[in-house]
Amino acid sequence: MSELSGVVERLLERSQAIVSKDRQVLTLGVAGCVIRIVSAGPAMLNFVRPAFAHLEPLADDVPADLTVTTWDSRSTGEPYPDLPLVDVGPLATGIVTAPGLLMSYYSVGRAMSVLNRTADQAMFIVDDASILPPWERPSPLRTILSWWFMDRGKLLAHAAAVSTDDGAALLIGPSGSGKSSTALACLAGGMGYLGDDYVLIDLASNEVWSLFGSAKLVADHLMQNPGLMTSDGVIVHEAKAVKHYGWPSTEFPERARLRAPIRALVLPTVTRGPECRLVPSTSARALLALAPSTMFQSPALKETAFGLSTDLVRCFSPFRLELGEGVEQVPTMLSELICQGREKA
Amino acid sequence: MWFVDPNKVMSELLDGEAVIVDLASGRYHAAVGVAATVWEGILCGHSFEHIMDDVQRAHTGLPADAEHHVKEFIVRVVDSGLAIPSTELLSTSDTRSPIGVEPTPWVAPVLESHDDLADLMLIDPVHDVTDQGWPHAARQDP
Repeated sequence: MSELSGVVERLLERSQAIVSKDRQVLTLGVAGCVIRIVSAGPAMLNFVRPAFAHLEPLADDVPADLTVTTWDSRSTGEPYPDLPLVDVGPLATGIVTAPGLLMSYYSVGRAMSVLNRTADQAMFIVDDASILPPWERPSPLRTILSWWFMDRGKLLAHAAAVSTDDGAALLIGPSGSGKSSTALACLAGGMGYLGDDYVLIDLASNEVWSLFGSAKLVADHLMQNPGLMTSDGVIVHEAKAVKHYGWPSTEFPERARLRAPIRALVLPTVTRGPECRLVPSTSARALLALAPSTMFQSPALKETAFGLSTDLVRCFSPFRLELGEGVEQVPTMLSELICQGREKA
Repeated sequence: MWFVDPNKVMSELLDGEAVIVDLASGRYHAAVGVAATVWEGILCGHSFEHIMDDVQRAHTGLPADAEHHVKEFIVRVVDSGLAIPSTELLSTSDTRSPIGVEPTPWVAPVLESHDDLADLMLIDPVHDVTDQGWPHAARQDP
């Protein structure tokens, strides 16, 4: 393992040399922190930029809290890192932790994420930016950002968030529970929008921050509601429905919100009943809806993700949102719930 | 007695409901009421007799076959890979939060299991990197 750690340390140095040849920079304000993405040429920067287009751009000389160096082998002509590899199957994620280092390798697209936790330096290296899996595009650099923010007590939660002037409702649940549909229905209904799949939670202040300005919507729902979002691509999972992704935070900038105090935890559930309604739920149900999928998307730090998820659900009295007929009523229902949450706070 | 590997299983008790996550399989579970009481006993390394004492203190209206139901639940927990039988005292603790101040009515214990993420784990397993190297997609023969 120490040998691997040495390989990665040298790779960090090599990456910085590679990006220095055609250095392209995107500096962003995210959740009160300055994140600098330094790309070797335009390929990787163009890949990650749309998801962050709604965030506050900062000058490139502002001191960064985290610097992410990114490059792809094809567009730079640089050989992909020569790592010792073990065949494990058609799809695989590998993780390794060493003192001060977190690393993951995803065999699809040969995507390598590395975080030097003590130096606040990261790198994201792929084989070919032009053929990365489409599910990476709505939430790029997810693993690195999840790790780095978790070290600062902030949880990259598998959740959606919508808001009013009174605060935000966090929508939690596994894939297919109705998070995206609810979030986009609320956006269409005039509410603020912070994200539909991953949002950042600051446990110290119980605030939610927008990170990715994307949304993913099943094809049928998008076709039935063409005004919700313009599709920019398609994600096909063998076992799941076809989903379109787009950039509602950029498409509807007047409704994009960057932060809001959390006032309510809501667990959407598709019931197809005669009405939509809110029903009191329990903290355990909220944890069950939030923690597992958040944990499994935080490789190497699952225990931390579980602990932060528990801290969050303890702070609220959650509600189950039964999604039946009359989805157009949901924005009003959630706005009232947020208002009640503010009065209790 | 039983042993729950803390490196493999994470659990939290909230208002009498236990949330249990199996990091190895991706399955996650809920245990409510009597089931949560029994799970907490397993987690604390209690004997079966101790667990039945916990159940009697925390719940009312136990049926004559309560022991049978509790044994069945424990078998389910073991079969699900959340705990293994142990003949030695691996850990004992009474420091967990009480299930509830007021006893609640008996309901036969059930382990509510979810495997939607287990499917994800099967197609996208996370492998530890070893001295042999990083996991890599096996080449498919044409």
